[in-house]
Amino acid sequence: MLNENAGRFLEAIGNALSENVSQITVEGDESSRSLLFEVASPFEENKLFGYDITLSEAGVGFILAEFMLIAFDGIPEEHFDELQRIITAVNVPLTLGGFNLIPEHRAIELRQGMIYGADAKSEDVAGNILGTIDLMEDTVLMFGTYIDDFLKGRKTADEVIAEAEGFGGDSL
Amino acid sequence: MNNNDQRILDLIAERLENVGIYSEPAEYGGEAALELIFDSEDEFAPKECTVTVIHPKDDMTVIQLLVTMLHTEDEETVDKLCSLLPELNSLLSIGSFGVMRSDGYMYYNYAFLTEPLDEGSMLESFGAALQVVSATAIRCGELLSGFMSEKDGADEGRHDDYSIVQF
Repeated sequence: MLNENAGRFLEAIGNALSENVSQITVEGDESSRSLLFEVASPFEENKLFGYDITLSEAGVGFILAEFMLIAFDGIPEEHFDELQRIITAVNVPLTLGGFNLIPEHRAIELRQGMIYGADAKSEDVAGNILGTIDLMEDTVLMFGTYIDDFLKGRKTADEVIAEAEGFGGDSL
Repeated sequence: MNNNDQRILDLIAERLENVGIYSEPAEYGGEAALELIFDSEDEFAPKECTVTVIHPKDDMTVIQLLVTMLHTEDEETVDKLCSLLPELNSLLSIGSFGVMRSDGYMYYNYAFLTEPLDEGSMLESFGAALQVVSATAIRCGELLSGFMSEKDGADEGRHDDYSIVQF
């Protein structure tokens, strides 16, 4: 059962997001609550990708926030094996979050989690969540390019993996 | 490494000491860090957890917990690990497992943004995260131990007892 702290966190997050996001849907039940919205894809014009922030209780006195950003969808099944190899290589230089292939949705998500003490200030939690979203979008832009290059046929899986393994820049 | 980063590491070390966890100053990538040693001789068990402070942007501070696990130079073992990781990662709410092919070691990584949390909230989040990270790495070590000893390979073993419950 979600406690009242999760409720005030959700309200603060919703208010903070509403300045940048046109439509937010709230879903959930007694054990968890999700905020669903969409942000612009950096890879395709007029394409949106889905964001899901789910709050649930994580033991007594803690709340878990799970961030799931669907970075790519409509992925052909024949690419699954190569994409798993690519994702394993691309995840190495990541600091925040990790890419996952979700076969049943034919999608690739970037996932991150955060645990808050239930008595943390609502406005601080909302600010932290907005900052995390910002970093996740940067991560998708910076490292999702490897996946996008493969999906659009610009590079082979081996080329993309070699590039990701040779990544020597500053990670996010 | 600025004074504030060192202060964060000092606060974390003090917090850990208060709950009986020993950490020692270390260096990671040329930066100051904290190191926690896992007390196990098992080949697949986590070895150490390195805590570092990173700035992905000027006004953002991220605390990273990097647990090193199995180290191997055997290509076949690395390939087997790589085939297991996607499914393991799909079960996790926080952190992800990976293999650094160039160095031949497996790791578990989790990081979180600290701003604009106050010190108390940041330490609370760190403490909870460390508990989950440690338990996840230990559980993964147990799973790997079973998978890697499977005669017929990872695919045969993964359906027997395959679960990681973080929360």
